[in-house]
Amino acid sequence: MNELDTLRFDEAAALRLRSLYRCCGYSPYKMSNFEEYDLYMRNRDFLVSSPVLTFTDTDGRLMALKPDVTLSVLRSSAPGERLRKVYYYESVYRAPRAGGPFREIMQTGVELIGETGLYETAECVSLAVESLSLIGGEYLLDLSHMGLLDALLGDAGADEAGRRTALSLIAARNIHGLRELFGDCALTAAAGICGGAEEALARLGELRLGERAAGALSELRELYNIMKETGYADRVRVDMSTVCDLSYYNGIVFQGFIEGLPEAVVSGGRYDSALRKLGRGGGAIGFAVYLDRLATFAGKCADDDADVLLIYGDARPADVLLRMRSLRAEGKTVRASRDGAGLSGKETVRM
Amino acid sequence: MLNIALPKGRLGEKVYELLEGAGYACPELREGGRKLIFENAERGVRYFWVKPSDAAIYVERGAADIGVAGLDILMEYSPEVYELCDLGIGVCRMAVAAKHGWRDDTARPLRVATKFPAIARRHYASRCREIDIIHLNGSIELAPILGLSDVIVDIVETGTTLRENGLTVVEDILPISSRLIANKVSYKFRQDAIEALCRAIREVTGK
Repeated sequence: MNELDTLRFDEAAALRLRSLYRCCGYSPYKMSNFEEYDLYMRNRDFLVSSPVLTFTDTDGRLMALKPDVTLSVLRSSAPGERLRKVYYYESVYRAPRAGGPFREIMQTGVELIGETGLYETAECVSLAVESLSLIGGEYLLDLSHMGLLDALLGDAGADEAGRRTALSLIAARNIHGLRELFGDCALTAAAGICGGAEEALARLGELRLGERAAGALSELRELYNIMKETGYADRVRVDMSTVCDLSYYNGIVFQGFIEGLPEAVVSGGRYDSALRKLGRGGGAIGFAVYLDRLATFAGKCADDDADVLLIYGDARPADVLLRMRSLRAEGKTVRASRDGAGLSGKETVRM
Repeated sequence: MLNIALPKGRLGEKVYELLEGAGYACPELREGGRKLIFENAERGVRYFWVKPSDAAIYVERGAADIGVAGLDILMEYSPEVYELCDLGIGVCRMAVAAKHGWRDDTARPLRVATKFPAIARRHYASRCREIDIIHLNGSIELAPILGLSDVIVDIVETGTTLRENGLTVVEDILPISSRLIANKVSYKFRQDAIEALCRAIREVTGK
C-alpha cells in the first residue's frame, strides 16, 4: 500500500496542484490564521458579503478567522516587487450557503500581482485549465469579461440599482427578465451568449458595440487565441452568465467545472479594481480551487475494513504484533480483532 | 367551547374515532364535503381539519385549545404547548436509512436528506458527526438513490417504502406516536374541560 493511498481525493488533488504551481515558478505563500476583524470591516465591500467568523483574543482584541486569502496576499506584497507570483494552500472560514453554518474550506490557488500583461493573464488562465485536468474527470473552463458587461450596462443606460438587478438576471441567464428592463439592445443580445469560445466570440463580434465594449471583447478574443494555439480550444467556452463582483473584478473572469460536481471548482479573474481600492497601482490576476467541492467526487468507500482481517482469538499479543508486521511487509492493510465480529476483510487470517 | 385541531388524513380520522368513542362526537363531520369547521354546541366542541404539520401552530397560538400532533412534529418544531397524553396511534419511528450495503465514510461530512433538519442535527451532534443537511419536503427516499445524499432521516412505519426503493434502516432514532397537545393559556382557563376530555380519551385508549 502506497502512503499516498491514505490521502483523500481532495488531498491528493491538492498535492498535484501545488506541485504544478511550484513547477511553474510560483512561490509558496503562507498566511497567518487570524487577522484583526477591523481590517475586514475596513475592506468590507471587497469580500463575499457573508458574515466573518470572529473570536476575542486573550488580549481583548476582536479577531477574525480569515474568509479569504487574496486580501492577505495583496496586503503582504513588498513595495519594490515588480511581479509577485505566489501559490497557497489554506483553510478559510466562510458560510458558503446563505443563512447556513460556517465551514472550514480548504483552498489552493495562485495570485499574480504587479506588472501583469497579456502573457501573465494567459499563464494564469492556462494554469487554471491545467489544474482542472489534474483533478480529473471531464472538465471545461468558462470565460467572460466583466469590463465587457460593465461597458454594455453603461451603454444601456443602467443606473446603480439597475446594474445590480441586471447582473443578477444575467447570472441566472434570465434574458426575458433583462429584456423587460432594457428592451432589445446590445446588452440583452450579449447576455445570453454562451457556448464554444470560437462561436460565442463570433456572435459577440456581430453586435453593435461601443468603444469600451469592443476593447474588452478584443481582449477576450486575444486570450482565447492563445488558449487555442496552446491546445485548449475544446476545453474553453465563453459564457456571459459568469458574473463576478464588479467592484473587485474588472476584466477577464473564469470559472472551471468538472462534470458531476454541481458547483464551480475553480474561480478567478483579473482584479485590478481591488488594487485601486487599496490605493495601489499595477494589476492582479488569480484563481482559487475549491477543494471542499471535490469531496463528493471522493469515489466509493472501501468495501472492507482492511485487506486482511486478522483474528487473534487467544494468541499471544507479541505473536499477533509480529504477524501483523509480516502481513504489512507484504504491502497489505491489516485489522487485528479478537473475533472479527462486525468486521470484514478481503481475506481472513486466523491465528 | 373547546376548539380542537384535527390533522387531515387517516390519522385524523382515527383521532376523531377516539374522540367520538370518548363522547365528543360531532355528526356533521361524518357528512364529508369540503367544510373545514364542525361544531357540536351541546357537547361544547368545535373541530377543524388542518394540515398535520400545522396542528401544533394552531394550538401554540391559541387558535385551537387542543390538538393532535405526532411526536415528530413536536420534536422538530418544539412548539410551546402542553403535551397531555400519548394517544397510542400513528405509531412509527424516526430512523436513519440508506442504500443496501452502504458504508459510512467518516473522512467526509455525512450528507443527510430529511424533512426534519432539527431532529437530524440533534441526533448527529450527539455523535459529533459532521453533517451536511439537505432539507427536502417529500419523497425523501429518492435522495440516496440519486446520489443527492448518503442517508435519509425519515419516518418509518412498516419499512415497505424503503424496501421497495432498495433502502434499509441503518439506525433507529426515536419511537413516534400521536400526542394530545393543549394551548398553555387555554389550559389554565379551561383546565376542567380539557382534563375531562383527556380522562375520557385515556379510558378509550386504555392508557
